Amino acid sequence: MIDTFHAKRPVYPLFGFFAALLIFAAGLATAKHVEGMWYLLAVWVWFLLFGYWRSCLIIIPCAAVVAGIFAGITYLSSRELGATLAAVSRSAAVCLAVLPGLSLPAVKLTRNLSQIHVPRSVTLGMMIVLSFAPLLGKEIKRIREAMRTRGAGSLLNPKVLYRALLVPFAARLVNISDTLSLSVETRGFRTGKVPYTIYHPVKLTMRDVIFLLGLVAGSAAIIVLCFI
Amino acid sequence: MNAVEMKNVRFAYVKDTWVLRGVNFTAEYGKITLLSGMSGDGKSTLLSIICGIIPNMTPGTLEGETVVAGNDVRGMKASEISRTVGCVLQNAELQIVQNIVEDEVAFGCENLAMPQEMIEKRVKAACAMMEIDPSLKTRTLSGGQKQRLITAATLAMGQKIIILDEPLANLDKEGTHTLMTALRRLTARGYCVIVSEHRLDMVLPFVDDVWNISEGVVRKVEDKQAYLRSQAEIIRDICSPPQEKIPLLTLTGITKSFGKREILRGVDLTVYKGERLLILGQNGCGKTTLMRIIARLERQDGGKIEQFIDKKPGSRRASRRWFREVGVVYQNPNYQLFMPTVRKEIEFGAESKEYADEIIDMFDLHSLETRHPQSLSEGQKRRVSIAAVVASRPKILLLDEPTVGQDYAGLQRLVDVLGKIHMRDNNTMITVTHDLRPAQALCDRAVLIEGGKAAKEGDKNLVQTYFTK
Amino acid sequence: MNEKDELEKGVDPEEIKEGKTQAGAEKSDLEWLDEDIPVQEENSGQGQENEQKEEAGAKKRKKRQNPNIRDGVRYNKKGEVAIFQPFTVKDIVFLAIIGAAALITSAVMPLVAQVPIFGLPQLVTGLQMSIFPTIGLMKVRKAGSVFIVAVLVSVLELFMAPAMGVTSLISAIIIELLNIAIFKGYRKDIACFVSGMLINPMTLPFYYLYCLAFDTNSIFFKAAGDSPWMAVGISAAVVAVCALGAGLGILISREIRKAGLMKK
Repeated sequence: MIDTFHAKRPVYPLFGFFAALLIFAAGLATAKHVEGMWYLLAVWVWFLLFGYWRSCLIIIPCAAVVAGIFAGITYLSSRELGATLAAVSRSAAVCLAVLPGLSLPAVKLTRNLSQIHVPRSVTLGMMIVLSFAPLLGKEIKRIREAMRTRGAGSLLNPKVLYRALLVPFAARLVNISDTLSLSVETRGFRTGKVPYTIYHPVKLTMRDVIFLLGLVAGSAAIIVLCFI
Repeated sequence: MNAVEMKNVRFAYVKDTWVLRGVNFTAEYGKITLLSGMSGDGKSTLLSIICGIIPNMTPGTLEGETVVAGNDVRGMKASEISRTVGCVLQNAELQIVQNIVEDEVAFGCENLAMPQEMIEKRVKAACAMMEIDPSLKTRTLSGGQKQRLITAATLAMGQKIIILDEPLANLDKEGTHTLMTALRRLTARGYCVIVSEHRLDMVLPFVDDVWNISEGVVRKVEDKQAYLRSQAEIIRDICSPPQEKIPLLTLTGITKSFGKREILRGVDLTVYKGERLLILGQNGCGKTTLMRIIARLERQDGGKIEQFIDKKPGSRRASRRWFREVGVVYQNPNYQLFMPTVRKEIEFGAESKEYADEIIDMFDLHSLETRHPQSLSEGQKRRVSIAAVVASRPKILLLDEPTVGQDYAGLQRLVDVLGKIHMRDNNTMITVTHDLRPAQALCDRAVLIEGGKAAKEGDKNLVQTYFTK
Repeated sequence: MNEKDELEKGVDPEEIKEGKTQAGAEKSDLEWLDEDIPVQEENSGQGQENEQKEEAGAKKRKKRQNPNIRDGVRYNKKGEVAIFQPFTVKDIVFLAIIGAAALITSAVMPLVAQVPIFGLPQLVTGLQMSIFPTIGLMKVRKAGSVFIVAVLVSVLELFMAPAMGVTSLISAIIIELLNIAIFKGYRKDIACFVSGMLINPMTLPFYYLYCLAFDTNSIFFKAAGDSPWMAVGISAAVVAVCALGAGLGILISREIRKAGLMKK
């Protein structure tokens, strides 16, 4: 759902969703076993094979930093190598579980959900959450800049600091939401059971099925190997 | 044939405070109808009634009859009216839901349950008409492109009545021409187009009928040209250029890119003490970026800036002292207003209460003194944000599109005040504007940004040539 | 040349009238403008449902067009304002924007959640996760608002940090049930305050279960198990931060309502 991570041919969104759950659960459950590491490596290669090379490469430094930080904290607090390795595994599992979501253009997810008759108000809401999260990030940046230009960013004056940050931001939230809802409604959006078209519906292919089956088989195998 | 007919329409947001007081208005198919008037006189209210926003989404007391495409809209939902009336609202950026231009343009068509092939055709055609690439990412578009995108999204839906509320606010000369020409093509095919706009100089050559709204009543303007002269006359300059040329800022080879997009490719520019510099250029050419670099809100990628404003400027972030010397007025005033009343907003940065009084006087803000700044109209907010920044008596004043949303009377007053303050304080003013009317009155020297560089420099004649070529 | 002429310079009025000034505007390119919008059938999905479904849809709609809903407000059989009010597009959009604001300001949560210190994620995100939902509740005063924000955010969280997504959903359901039992909706500011304040602390027990399931050796248990008072202390700090956030949310909402931006 972040532009730079987008895969050219992401897997069927709902399968991506199950894949995330599976990797997360299996990764965390097997974090204390050495086999868990091999499992995560296999998942990473599996993603590579299915065209996620860009996100697979970008995630490596991110995962290294995150795993490094948490492994450090865990080692300092526990002084146990096993716990430290488990922290590395857990961090890697979280980073890998994030991959299908990050690589998926938001519109594909919402269209997929519309195809399975998830209410349109929910898919619209999700689309807004995804589209406006970066915009709101920029809004916060602009407000902080504006505070500086007006000399209102001092920690010594918390009342002004809070006002200068939160009042314009809250007003912007209301403003953005009012404008957006007017725009959406005047462009014919209605809730409830009304007819609509899904432009470019997402299709399920054999490739998607193979992807999920492979992942399920791998996850089942690692659970058996570690616990049975 | 009338596409829209309003008979004795009255409307009040708050009980008994009538914004519209018996409006009789018509708009015909095959014509562009312009609705003009002062800020806050009810243009947007009138348009909101036609497209059903009032009373469906914005409550209030509505009386009278509004007939759209032969149907009385009383009791109709906005989404029903949206099948007949296409509405392009203000603030395009806040209306974009999708990540790709193609999906955004298709959104309205999807809601109208058009067949897929039809949507495909319409998306392509509407994008071509508004000259926007359907494969672009929406968040990377410039303000003008976003405006064209939202217009394309409405046109693709195919309603025969199109309403546009201040569509030129973020458009440069070229963008305006593209939009207005597209609208003419629609009316040539029998569409009814209603436009509300302050920048009469840009729209009047294209429109058929002109209506003026004042004090809640609408009147048809018979003599378009006389009206244009009264509303779009170029504002006269009251200041004279500085006698000496003492450099205040010297920019050498400034470059700046956002991702792969190269915005500035080596800008060389000197700003002199006490001058009024006007930065000209098309949408997305880097005017605002340059302004932000000058204000030290953004860091340049390459090049050098020598400044003679602050002796201890610090290495990275601009200090509080810097912003006491350099006043920045944002394009969007909403970010800079945070106090509970207009008076407190002005007093916040003012050197004394007396000076705040003087500024309130000069900007004619007495009637708004006790109002919450966020409760004001966009034009009023802009006036207050300029006043609040000016109140801190900066030596350099950076103004990014200070005249957007100002009606002609407000514009004249604003330019006059800025001129008086400049003469009195001998401040340096750097302004970015797309508006021809005040441009010359805000300029001793102009610089044209083109191809990422300061392509031309000149005086008021450059402004004249740029806007009228 | 007068100013008016200057303004019009470069535009041929005849061309303007005919709409011909656009380069390459062939007549065939514009035929799409003459097409009418297809008639919208009142049924569901892609317009492919059969007649039976149409009838069923019509019955449902009739049932839905309940006379108990007047001016967008639903009344119960006794004529009192009902607890559950219908959500408009405007409500959904505002709650989605609030969700986006909470999400963007709490982006650090999935990472902090991996640090095995009890309550740290809740403490770090407490302020923002209480300010924004409270503002949301102060505007959309309808039972179910917290749940809607949770649904919108958790569907995305499920992709990013599944445990967080599930936790948010369950917490939201509990908060809604508590609200209905105590306040019967969000008409009173105190109801908005309490729910806004509880959103984050409510995830603490689930966080405990999460650690229990996946990491029995972490210092989490040293905090929560070996020295329960420390856990109690952190929990109290989370509640205090969230109470402060909810309080700020109420103050800001009141102010922007006074400014006329937010109607009750």
